[in-house]
Amino acid sequence: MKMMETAKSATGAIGSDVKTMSYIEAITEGLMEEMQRDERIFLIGEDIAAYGGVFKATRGLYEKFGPMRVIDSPISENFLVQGAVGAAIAGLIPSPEIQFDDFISLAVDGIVEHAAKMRYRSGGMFTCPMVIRCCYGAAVGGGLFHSQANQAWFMHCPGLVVVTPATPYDAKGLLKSAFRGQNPVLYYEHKRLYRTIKGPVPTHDYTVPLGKAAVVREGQHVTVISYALMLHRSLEAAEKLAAEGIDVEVIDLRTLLPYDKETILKSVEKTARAVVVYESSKTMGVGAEIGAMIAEDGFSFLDAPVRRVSPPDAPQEPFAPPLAEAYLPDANRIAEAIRETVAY
Amino acid sequence: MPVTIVVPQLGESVVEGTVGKWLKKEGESIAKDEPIVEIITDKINIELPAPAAGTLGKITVPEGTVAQVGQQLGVILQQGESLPAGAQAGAAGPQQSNARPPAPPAQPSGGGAPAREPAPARAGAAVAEAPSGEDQRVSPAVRKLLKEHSLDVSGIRGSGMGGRVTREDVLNHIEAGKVAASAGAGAPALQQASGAAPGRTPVAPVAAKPLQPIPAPAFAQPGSREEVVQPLSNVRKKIAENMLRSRHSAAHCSTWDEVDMTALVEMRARLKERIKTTYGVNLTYTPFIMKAVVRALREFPILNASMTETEVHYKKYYNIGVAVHREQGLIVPVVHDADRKTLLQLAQEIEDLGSRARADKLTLNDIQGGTFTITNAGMFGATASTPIINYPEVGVLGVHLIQERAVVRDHRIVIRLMMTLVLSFDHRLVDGTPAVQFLHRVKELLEDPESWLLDSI
Repeated sequence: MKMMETAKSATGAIGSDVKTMSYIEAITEGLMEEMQRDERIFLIGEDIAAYGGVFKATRGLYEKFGPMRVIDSPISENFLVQGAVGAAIAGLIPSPEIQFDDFISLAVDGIVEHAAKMRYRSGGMFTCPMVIRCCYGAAVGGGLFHSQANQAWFMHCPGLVVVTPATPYDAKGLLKSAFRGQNPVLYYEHKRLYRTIKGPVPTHDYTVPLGKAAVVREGQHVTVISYALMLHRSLEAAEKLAAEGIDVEVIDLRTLLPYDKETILKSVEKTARAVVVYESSKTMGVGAEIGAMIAEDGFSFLDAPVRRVSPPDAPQEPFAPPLAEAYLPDANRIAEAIRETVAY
Repeated sequence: MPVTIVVPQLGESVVEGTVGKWLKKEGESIAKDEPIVEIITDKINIELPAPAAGTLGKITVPEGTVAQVGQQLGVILQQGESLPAGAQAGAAGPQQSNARPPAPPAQPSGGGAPAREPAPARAGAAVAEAPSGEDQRVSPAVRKLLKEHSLDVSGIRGSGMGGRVTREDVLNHIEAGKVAASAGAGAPALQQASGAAPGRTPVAPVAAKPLQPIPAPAFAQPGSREEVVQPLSNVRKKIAENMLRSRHSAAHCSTWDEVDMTALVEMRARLKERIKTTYGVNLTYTPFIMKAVVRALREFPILNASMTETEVHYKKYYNIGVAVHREQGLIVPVVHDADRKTLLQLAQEIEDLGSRARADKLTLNDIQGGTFTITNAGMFGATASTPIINYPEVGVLGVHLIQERAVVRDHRIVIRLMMTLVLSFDHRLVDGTPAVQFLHRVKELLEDPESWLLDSI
């Protein structure tokens, strides 16, 4: 498959030690390996210890590492992150789990005012390394308060790293990179992908670099820039359009902040057309930034307006299944936008 | 100088009108202020007077077309003038522009184009005629490419939306030039060959197809029985639109009450002849009802209001509409400042509005600014009805047939002249209690007219 090949090429050779696993298994394995590698790492979150997390991402870790390194917290996102900031300054590498991205607003002060600014304000004397794992995303029937995708809020906060993998390979590789850096990382895991996406993951140690996008499908006529769940739907759209003679290049951003301008611009220089597909309300979303960047730095490449495909400017995915379906772009809606962009 | 005929400001909130009938033909001479064209707006027709004398040089908006306020309808030429060459150019108003051709659908290129073809996706697509010269807007990518190859966009045929020259078009153009140059003497044959490959040379332009109108549903004709089909009149279309807007916007609710009209009937019978001979006015029940309504509206201001999504507007003026039946269709002329007029003035004005409505002589002012409406279905024999609110008003009072009915008074069945009053109200703004109380107040006033008519203006 194309995705596999790209994953390989993005990180060099993979040995023969490859096994197929789900997106969530790759995350669990990544946590386990990093905790084994570095004893400063500890996990803290709601129901993550004996229960293994509401999505079971931390299953087995409490048994393996014990209550000092896998900690059940009270229901307070504010405490989770503020406590982690203190621990990080003191020399540990905490990994708080935000059970649903919808609740992250309770932790914004810790993330934005402290974690993001610590290294900068102290002139590098202190760093605040931590991996805030954040379960997010629509298309799971979660309704208003269990479906949000709030990455764009944090893309506005220099000092943070925001990543969101689309494949098991990247899930594990990005997680490892996140634990090995000096910056606070918001590691966004898409709930819909947890068990619907399986793929090859090396058993040996490897990392996926932060801040690097991947061209997961090459094409000549238009560049589609996406990530996580929307990436899979974009690939599906690209497959449909291939049958119509439209050759779509698809880029997986993987890291949303700082994102990979170079890969995007290189692709748009080739295709002259860009469509950004993202999962959050349209206005001031990921597409606003990518679209503006292309207009600013790649103006002379463009032969058509940059198009955004996203949910509408509604507060969040509704509960009612037909409305939920109408909310989130599917492959057909993405394909239609690409067709129009190519026909422009 | 030729004088243009434009759609005038037709009243508050009116932004467009339909050109009904041109009363003059092109070339016909006209006097200043002579009616030249009929414009149909919300329920009312006006005849536009000629802004100048001369001859009608050009009609730019044909009959039956919607025109915006301020849009040019035609040109009047004064003596010795002829139509300037560019006169037609300004004719197209907002409604006039042709439908934009749909985007050419992306199609697979037949016959397996080679992989290096820049745009197989577009190869078989319909191509519109490119806009010429300076009208052509080029994308940044095209501009850069043109500059690099010292090309002029006007020599390149566009295959993009609306005939836009795309980057692929320029690349194809450059490629075709290279082929022609390298082919030398053999050029014609080679060009022909390359022309056969889809996407290599520009496709011959095909006229853009306008959007296809959706065909009207065909009604089955039962057996051999005839069915007469007539176009809807503009007035009927407007009525339909307004009725539906009210039904879709307001939360309709109706309440009714029985009114003993015996006292009022006797009073009117007593006064009728004298009023007719002294003032020349037919004294109907409507002015009495209107007076009672205004009094009750003062006590229940919520029924003399209207609402937006965020505000309620209480009107401190009382403009009462009276629904009038006429052949062309229902219309609601308005008695303005009904609270400041005597019963006799109301009677005169209602009579005047009614006759002008039937003669189609109402002005726009006559049908605007209403705050509450009265409709009389009793005139034709109805004993009850649930009227539709004259949106954005929030209440409409239906008055009905006055007839002798057996009612109970002091434990006895007696004959009284009774009438059913129905109030339809917008339940979004008006709660049931004030609606019922308002209606009851109207009933009280009508049942005992002498008590309050004495201190009425």
